[in-house]
Amino acid sequence: MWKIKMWTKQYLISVAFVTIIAVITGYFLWNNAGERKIEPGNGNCSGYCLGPEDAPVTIDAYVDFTCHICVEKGLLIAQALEMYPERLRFIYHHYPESDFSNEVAQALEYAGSQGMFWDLYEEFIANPPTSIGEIVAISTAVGLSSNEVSDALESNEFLHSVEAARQEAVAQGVYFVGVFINGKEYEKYPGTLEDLVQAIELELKKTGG
Amino acid sequence: MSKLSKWLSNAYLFLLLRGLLGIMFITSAVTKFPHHEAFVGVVKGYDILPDFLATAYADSLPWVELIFGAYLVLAIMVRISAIVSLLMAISFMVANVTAISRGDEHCGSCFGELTILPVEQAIIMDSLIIIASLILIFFQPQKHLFSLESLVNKKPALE
Repeated sequence: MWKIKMWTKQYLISVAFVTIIAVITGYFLWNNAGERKIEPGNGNCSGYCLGPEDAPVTIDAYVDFTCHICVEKGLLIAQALEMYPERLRFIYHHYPESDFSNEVAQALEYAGSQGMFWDLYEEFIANPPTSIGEIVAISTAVGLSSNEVSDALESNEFLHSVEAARQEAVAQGVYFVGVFINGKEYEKYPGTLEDLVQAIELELKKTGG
Repeated sequence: MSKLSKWLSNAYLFLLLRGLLGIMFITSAVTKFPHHEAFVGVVKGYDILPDFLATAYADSLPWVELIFGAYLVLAIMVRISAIVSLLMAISFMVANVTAISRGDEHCGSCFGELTILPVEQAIIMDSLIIIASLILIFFQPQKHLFSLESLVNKKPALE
């Protein structure tokens, strides 16, 4: 049988004290919200890039294709790139967080070696693959050789490039997938095109672009 | 009293469960607070709750975790705190099962930016929290070890 027992005055005060300390701690942490920032690339292409080098706004995307929010953000960025062709630079970085997304990244690297990175990227963003079979099928649909894609994945020929990209991201202070606009994290999950346009416009105002 | 319930009511086991749950919730809260806006986005991204409820849930969760985590550590209202932790664990479980069903592989929001758990591990953790909470709710020892009440008076706390 559960019992209700009375608190003593001292105990009540102590509980109130603990609660107040917890609330003050929470209030302090809440109001000192940290922003995830990376060193802005200033257009330097450390991954795969689209848009002019001197664009006033650079979007760095650290992408895992098994993360649906990353994919949805990728679709929004593609629309934003069409809206700001001269003022927006997009840099794609691999950030695979699972074995399968590692395979997707390796397929993209292979496509990159054939000069077809963006063709495959667009297809993966539109229809994220969920199996090795789908990776090969989509790659073949954009014009890559199915045998060569399969061989590249089996041999892990591009694993080193993917791991290097990941290590570079970690060195930048990126420890989770994310999108950064001029080095500042874009904290929408995924947000709308209007949200993204607003963030880009804000940066354009700041940079006078 | 059966042997099992006697064992589950052991004061040291209780202390261990209270401590682990409490510290885990406090850690989880502290890692969420600095990125609370991002956490709202993560909760909305699950598409389980309407936007206003997702915002309310995400904004209140770190506070609830912090306060009831502290209560568990100090054995304040243990049964009520355990019920709250059970409800939180159920909500995490729903979110993680949803995440698995749509193909996500990681629970990026479980511990803010401290660590990223694979969804399967997060579900195992949720299950353990549920079991621990149920033990705290239904099997109370005669006396709580290292509790606030033992510091301030000899009378038992509200249960």
